[in-house]
Amino acid sequence: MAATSWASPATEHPTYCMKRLLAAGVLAGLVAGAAAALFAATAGRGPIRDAIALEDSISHATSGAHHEDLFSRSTQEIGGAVGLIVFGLALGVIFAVVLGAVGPRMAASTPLAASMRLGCTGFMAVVVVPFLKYPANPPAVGDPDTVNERTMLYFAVLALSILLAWAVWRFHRAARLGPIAQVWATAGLYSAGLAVIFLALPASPDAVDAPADLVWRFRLASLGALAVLWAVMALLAGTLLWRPSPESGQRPSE
Amino acid sequence: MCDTAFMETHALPATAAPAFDKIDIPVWAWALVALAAAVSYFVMLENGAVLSTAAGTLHEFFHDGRHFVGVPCH
Repeated sequence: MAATSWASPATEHPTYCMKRLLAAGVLAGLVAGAAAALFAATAGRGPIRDAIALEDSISHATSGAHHEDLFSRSTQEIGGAVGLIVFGLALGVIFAVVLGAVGPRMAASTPLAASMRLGCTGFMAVVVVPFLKYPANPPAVGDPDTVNERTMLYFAVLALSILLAWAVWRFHRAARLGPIAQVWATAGLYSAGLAVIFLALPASPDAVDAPADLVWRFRLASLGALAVLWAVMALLAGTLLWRPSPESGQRPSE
Repeated sequence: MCDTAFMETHALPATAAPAFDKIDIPVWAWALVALAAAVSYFVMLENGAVLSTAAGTLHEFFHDGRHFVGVPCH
């Protein structure tokens, strides 16, 4: 790569240029999306099929009419895999840019460590916290009349969770407390913020009347697929960044 | 006990990691983030809140993926 026009004034040739970060993020995101799709196809296929069978039996019993399916099951299974790969790609782009913005400010010793830290934080903020408030549901659960309300609530918890993680990180960097007090204050602030988010947002408007066993088999498969996605993405992106850009002047000793 | 000899003998020669220099994030990179967020929204979240008619097709095709990502669905 030629001398980069976007090099920071502080460092003429930084370790990584933006294009390099993006290439790592895109590749990591694609592979991570494929890994998550593979996980979903094995661990999640059973619960999805059971849930759709239940959904069909309910709609037969209540209306007597079978609603016309736009796509066959096998097409939807392919669509699900394509969706996870596209989602992985998009997440990889976001991950790369955020890593470029926050990575240099982290007290991480290597780019892989920075990537893993961001991956853990991102998984917590983007997946675990929203899941704890509004857990994923299989197809048989969900009232079409409340879908817009539930989408808004989901966005609210997602946005608040990301905002809280960012604010607490800023606090941790800015606070000048003792080394122990700083960690306790950061953990306390995060816990308090989570409590406010969980209490302020209303419960999901839908009653979950599908069997708990089915619902939880699906929820664990969903959480597992997302854990695979984030773990593979963070590991791979960090590993791809192990070698600095040649013009940065840094090189790993071999 | 802290065994420094262990650290020395097990340190791989290739582990000298590059420092992660600060870079200016160009505007186009943030635009790309916005685009990626929009793509995620249309692939994964669209329930008819923004698109009304085309949403149904997208929704049904990516149906299983949406459920796995944990977003609300009908």
